[in-house]
Order: sequence, then structure tokens, then C-alpha cells
Amino acid sequence: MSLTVQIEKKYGNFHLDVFWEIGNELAVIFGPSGSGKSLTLHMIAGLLKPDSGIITADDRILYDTNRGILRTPQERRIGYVFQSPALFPHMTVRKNIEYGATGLATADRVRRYKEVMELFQLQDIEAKRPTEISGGQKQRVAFARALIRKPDLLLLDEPFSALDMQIRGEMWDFLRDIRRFMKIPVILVTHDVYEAYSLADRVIVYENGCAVHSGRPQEVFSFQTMPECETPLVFSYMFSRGFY
Amino acid sequence: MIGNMNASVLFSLRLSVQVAAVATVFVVLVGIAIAYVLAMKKFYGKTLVDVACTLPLVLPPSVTGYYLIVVFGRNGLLGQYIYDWTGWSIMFSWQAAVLASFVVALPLMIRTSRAAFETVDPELIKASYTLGRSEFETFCRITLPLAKRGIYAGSVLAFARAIGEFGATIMVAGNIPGRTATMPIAIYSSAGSGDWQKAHIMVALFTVMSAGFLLIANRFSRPTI
Repeated sequence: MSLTVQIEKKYGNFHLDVFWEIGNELAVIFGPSGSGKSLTLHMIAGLLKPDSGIITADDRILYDTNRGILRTPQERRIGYVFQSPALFPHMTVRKNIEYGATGLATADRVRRYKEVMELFQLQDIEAKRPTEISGGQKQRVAFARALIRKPDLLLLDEPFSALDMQIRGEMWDFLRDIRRFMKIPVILVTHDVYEAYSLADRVIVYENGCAVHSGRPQEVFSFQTMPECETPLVFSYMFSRGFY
Repeated sequence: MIGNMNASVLFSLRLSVQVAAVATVFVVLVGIAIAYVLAMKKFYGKTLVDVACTLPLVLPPSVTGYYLIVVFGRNGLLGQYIYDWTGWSIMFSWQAAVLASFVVALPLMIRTSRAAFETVDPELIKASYTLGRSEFETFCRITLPLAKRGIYAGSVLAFARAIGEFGATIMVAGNIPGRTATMPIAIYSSAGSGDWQKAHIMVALFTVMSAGFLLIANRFSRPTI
């Protein structure tokens, strides 16, 4: 599956104008806070309407100003994991995950529920409420809930930023597992250089509402392209490995 | 004489509870819908709708009653058509008391429920949409359960306001003993005619009931976590 995004949006004084394409890969949108990363994800998911442009997933048009097409979030089949896990506090872990199984027949729902529970190792906490589980477990539940109905695309809006380094490392492994098992494109938003470098097949760099670079991490984070990123990358790596 | 007094007090009490209960059912249904729209939607004229819905809270009840006569009176803006079609007018019936109670209690329900809806984390609603759930499903399974304490509190306050309604009720339902004399109206009549014993009983009963409603409403208003 491929995704093409060409959108423009004015949001107060901020102006977002980006164009990029990805294939079936893990793409990282990297950039400082306020550069338009999360805004882009919101528009891909259909939670916010662009002013103009086009968003297509393979041949499916999700948004096209010229043709007047705007698919609702419910029609897009896109999984979304937010920075806060956004778990429903009045539901147990099991109910939270089953809530995501929209449109599945009962037999499929049961089978998919078992699969995601195993994949994310959540069997022991299925009867607990979100207030009774840890931050890392909450994010795993959020992933399971987003993936139970097999979306065509997974959007991750800085889902690891609130976790400590050890849990974050575990979550990165989970993300690699998800890619291996589900084989769907994943777009991860982050402003962590090391996270971008270690996870991405492709990095799209945002700056002031524009996509200024796009390519493999080794190309994008080279001294010629982004000299300011090389030093933080080294420090970030050393910090994560406990050299400090 | 005491038996007569008891019967009249009981009738007023029963009528007041009946009027307040029916009015509260409508207040809850309409109030939740308006509160949801005001809390979640952006539209032209929202402030005007908000002001119009809150107005009965600040207007003297006699003014609210006057408007109800203008609209629902036998020759009123809507009342004349209702009378032409059905040969019936709502004026001076117990249903008029329901109408008056509905109008004065609605703002309390709207304000309390709106505040409750606004405390629901918008990311939970967005998450529900991205999971393929419609706005109605999201409302029923996420927004409403998370706002339920505020809605319960609003319902109790609305019931308490409806059961105590006097000014607008006396204008549209009148003071017909054994027919439209709700408890507040019966208290007014008893005090006016010097029947202090009856007035004492009803006032005491009303005070205890109202305090009970406030206690219940406060319980719902307290956060659970």
C-alpha cells in the first residue's frame, strides 16, 4: 500500500503546506514541536479537514478538494495511537480493545481479540481498568485497540514520548513486531532523533509547516543534509545505552 | 377537618411530584440534546441559542409565565392552532404546570450537562471516531457514560426546581384546588387564607424534600477519583 499526501492548511498564524509519498514502510515524520507533524496526522485520519489538496491510499481517495471528496474518519480504516493512550476510563482493558473491533463478525472478533492479546501480551490485565495499569501497558492496549480491526494504515502521534527509556525500548521492539506481523504502513511522529533514526525506513523532516527532506535515515541525518542533527544523534544514542 | 386537610395536602404533594416527574423526563431528553450541541458543535448563532436557553434562569418567573401565555394561550401564537385542531387548550390544566416547570428547569439541566460534556477528553472522542464508531455510537458509549454524574446532578436539580415552581405555574395553570394547585401554590393559598397549620406542614415537608434533593445533587457533583 502507498500513501500520497499533498495538503495545505492555515491554522491561526501557522501555515502547513506539505507533499510526500510513502510505500509499505515505517515512515517517521520528524521535526520540532509546532512544525505541523500532528496536524498532518489529524488530516490523514480525517479528524481535521485540510483547506486544499489530496490524500490517497493506493487508489482510494480519502480527500480531494477538486473532486469534493472528504471521507469521514470512520470510512478511512486508519488506526491511530495518540500521545496520551486515550483509553476509555469507564471500560476494562478487554472492553477497550473490543470497542475497536468495529464491523467484525462475532467469530472474527473473538479470533482477532485472541491474536492481539497474544501479540501485545495483555492476557493478565484484561479485566483491569486503565487507572490500574502502567504507562507502558496503557500504550500496548492503545496499540491493540487500534489494530484489532486490521486497519490499512497505522498513525502514531508521539506515543512513546511520555514513557521512560527502558519501556520506550520495549515499545520500539513491539513496533517492529507489528510491522513484521501486520505488514501495513506505519507513520510515526516524533521529535526524538534517535527514535527516528532507529525505527524509520523513511524519514520526512518537517520545518515550519514544510516537508524539507525525505529519504532513508542515513541520507536524511547526514552531516550534509542536517548538520545540526549529527551531534544530538550521538548523545541520544549514548544516553539510551546508559553511557551517562 | 383534619382528614380533609390531609387529603388536600396529599393531593398537592402528589400533583407536584407528578408535574415535576413528567417535566423532568422532558427536561432530561431536551436538555441533554441541547447541552451536547452547545458543548461539542461550532455554529453561527451559538451564543444566541445559549442566551435564549439560559434566559428563564434569570427572568422573573412571572415574565416566563407571560411568554408562555403569549405562545400557548388560547389565542396565543401556537395555542390558537392547537385549539383550532384539537378543541383543547393547555391553559389551566396540570399539563400547563408541566410546561411551566419544563421551561424554568431546562436551563439548570443544560448548564450542568454542558459542563459535564465539556470535561470529557476530546481525544477519547477522536479515538472513538478513528476506531470506526459513528458520532451517535460515540455519544452513547463514550460521551454519555463519562458525563453521567453531571447529568444525574442536572436531573436532580431540574426535578427540585420543577417541584418548587410557582410564578410561571400560577400564571398558566392558575390556582384551582383539586386540579392545578401544586404544593407551592397550595402553600401560597393557605398562607393567604390564614390556614397556618396546613401551611406549616407543607412548608416543613417541602424544606426537607428540597434539602434531600440538594444532598443528592451534591453527591453526584463530587468527583469519583
